[in-house]
Amino acid sequence: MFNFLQSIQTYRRETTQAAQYIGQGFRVTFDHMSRRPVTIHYPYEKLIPAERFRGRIHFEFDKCIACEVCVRVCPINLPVVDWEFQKSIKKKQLRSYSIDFGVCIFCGNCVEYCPTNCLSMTEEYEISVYDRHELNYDHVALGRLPSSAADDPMVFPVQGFAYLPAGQIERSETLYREESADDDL
Amino acid sequence: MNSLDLQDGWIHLGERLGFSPELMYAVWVPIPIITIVIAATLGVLVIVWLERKISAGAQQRIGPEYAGPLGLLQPLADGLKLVFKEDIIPAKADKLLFTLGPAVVVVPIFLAYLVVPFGPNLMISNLGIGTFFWLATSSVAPIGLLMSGYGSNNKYAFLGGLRAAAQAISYEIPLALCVLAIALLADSLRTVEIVQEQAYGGILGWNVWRQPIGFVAFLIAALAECERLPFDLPEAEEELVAGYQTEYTGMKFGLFYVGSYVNLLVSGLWVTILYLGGWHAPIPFDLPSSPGWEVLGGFGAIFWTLLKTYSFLFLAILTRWTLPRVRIDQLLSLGWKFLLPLALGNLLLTALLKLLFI
Repeated sequence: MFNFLQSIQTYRRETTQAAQYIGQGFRVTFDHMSRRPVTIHYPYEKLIPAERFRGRIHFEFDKCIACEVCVRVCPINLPVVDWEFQKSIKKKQLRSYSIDFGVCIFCGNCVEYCPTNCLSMTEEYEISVYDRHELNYDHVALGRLPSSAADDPMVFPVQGFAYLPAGQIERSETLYREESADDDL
Repeated sequence: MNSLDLQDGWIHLGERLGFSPELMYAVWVPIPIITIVIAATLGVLVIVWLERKISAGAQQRIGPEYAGPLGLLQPLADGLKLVFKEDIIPAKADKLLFTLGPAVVVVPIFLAYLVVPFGPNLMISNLGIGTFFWLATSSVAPIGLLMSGYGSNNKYAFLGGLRAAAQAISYEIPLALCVLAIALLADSLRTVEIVQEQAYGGILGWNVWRQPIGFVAFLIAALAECERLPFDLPEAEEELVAGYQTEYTGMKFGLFYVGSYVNLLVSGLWVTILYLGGWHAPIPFDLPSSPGWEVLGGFGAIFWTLLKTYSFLFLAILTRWTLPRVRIDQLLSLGWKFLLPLALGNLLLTALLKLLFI
């Protein structure tokens, strides 16, 4: 008899506990409904990547000394450095330089170790192509500067979370474009 | 108090124009039926839109945006897509059962609208066995689910159909017991009388306060009857692809789709009728008894019914994104070991109090 009562008591306690947990869950879901959406309308709105975003790599041909450090630090020895030793000036002369972005993992080691800072990361992330061979960028393609989404009049730029003050998780209504316009003045 | 009678009005209109009352009556019969079918379908479009928008909100997405203002036409676009899709019947399927299944599922759900009152006289037929009629017709649907599950000749579809039947049968019982307790309170199975019984005292007169246990049990059982999350085991996509809907495309799938949402809507309407005071406003007020005010009162009744219904639907959608799906054994033990004793105890308690105090 006592055992029976005790088991009823346990059952009742577990039921109320389950109801409490379900209530907590509803509170969380309900709270999320009032938050601003994190998705953006991609082709019409574009995210401004964070300042340390590791996008397509930019290369400056004139700064390169063909030391091949980038090849050695690369996890898969990806950059192709073609140089020729010029006896008259006793220096290596770069003939061409290429990185295949179809293989690159954007780890940024080459940028980190480049002694002359001729490599840098850009904020460009839209590098999809129809033919994978087009992803093999030579030094001319690598030397092109990407255009920022903020400068495109057809696109509504949206700041990522990285631009928000520490501890804040909601995007503000203020636009990147307005802020950059203020900076120009 | 409210004597708004559309049928009388229609026949009088015919008499004034020189038609016989019999003819006007014959023309009248299909009108409310068509109205209700159209209203239920429009209601489905609204629910689908709400479901997508609220789901988006709960997941911090945006949801449908481009089909019409705020994506309002998105369900219409979905429906059109289904209409124009190729209708495939699997080669080794049982063609008769496969074709009949969706119809057997959808028709009884629409039949339940026969007895749903939107106002004192705003219903198709004031049956004496109203709520029982709903319970009886809604028990036909599992047969259709079994038929389509078996007819598909697909193991996932078959498992889904079996699960659907098991779930519908086990949750029908607590549902019926909750309804029985309400019928005891109202002394009637007539939906209009059940609502009228809750008319006094505004929000405090509603059955929620007299039947709190029954209300909770009814909500859970209604969710399970509609195969909504957390009870959507028959179509659990991670295990059963899409359950009994696996082999269906085009309009037949569309029928299942419409059927599930119409069922959800009708469950919301029944929660409103049985527990939330039907068409009555939370704060009671009297309208002057002139024809114009009565028409306004009729619209008010529809407004309150739909408002309460859609707040239940909001809760159902919120539940979908809050609770994870239960296992089949958990589902059955919740139904048989928790809801059934709860509903039975609630019924006994109601009967006891009824005997003691009345």
